[in-house]
Amino acid sequence: MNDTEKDNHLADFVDGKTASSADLDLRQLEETILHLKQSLPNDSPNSATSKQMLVRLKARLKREEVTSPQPFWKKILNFQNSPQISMALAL
Amino acid sequence: MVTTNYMHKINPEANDEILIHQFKTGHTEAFDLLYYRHLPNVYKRVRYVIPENDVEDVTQEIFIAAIKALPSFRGDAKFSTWLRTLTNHKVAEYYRKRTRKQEPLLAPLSDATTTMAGNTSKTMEERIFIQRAIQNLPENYREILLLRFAEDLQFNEIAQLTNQNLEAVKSLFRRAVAALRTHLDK
Repeated sequence: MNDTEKDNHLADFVDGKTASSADLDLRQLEETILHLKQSLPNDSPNSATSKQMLVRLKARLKREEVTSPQPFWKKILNFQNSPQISMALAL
Repeated sequence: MVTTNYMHKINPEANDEILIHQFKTGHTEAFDLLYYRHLPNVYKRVRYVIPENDVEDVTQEIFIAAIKALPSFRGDAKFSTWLRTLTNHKVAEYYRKRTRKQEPLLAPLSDATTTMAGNTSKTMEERIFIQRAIQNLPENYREILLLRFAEDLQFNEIAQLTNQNLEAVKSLFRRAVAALRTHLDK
């Protein structure tokens, strides 16, 4: 098997499109992949966990006082995006 | 194009660009939508390389850094790409801090004694060993493993994302797995 064939075989193995290879080198790499899949989870947080994490993130942000996305002076400089400030300045 | 009227409402269907614009103009709730949209990938990526006990903490640090940096985000890259880079940076920082404190050999293994539901300490120890091996790989090897396994992207999606052809991606993947095996065998 040449390198390109090995690349394709391993990619297909990961995608579940092919069975294990008879080639010893490839078999070892397949074992590493299975080991990786078994040992490391890749599940997403569920909806409840995501919400709780956001609540804790906001609490931490509050503690660290970075709730404002922009410093005060940047907000003032951005007055063209705020009709209220634009009107106040126009008056 | 963003109209003035539109800016006062947060549309859950709005794309990242619009939400970022809204956030920059003071609609902080737009960040919540960005957060829910991108948390799964950030979380999965962090969980893949960081010991379980520190996953939420590192994830929080990534989003705090994102909030602080968003006002200067110019949109040269896609937000998801920018966030992925930020995630890698924070993960590297996590390991740098541990190394500086001379904790890498002891702390993660002691973390492993705190067992999570359904996980034995041996499993946790094994997980930390693999996570450290992944983190020690060259960046391009680590990245392709994370894209394929943590983010669950298909090879054609990775090729598109990284601007490479499919053959190059598959070749890189095989070399990355081989390098990981070498690290695990050490």
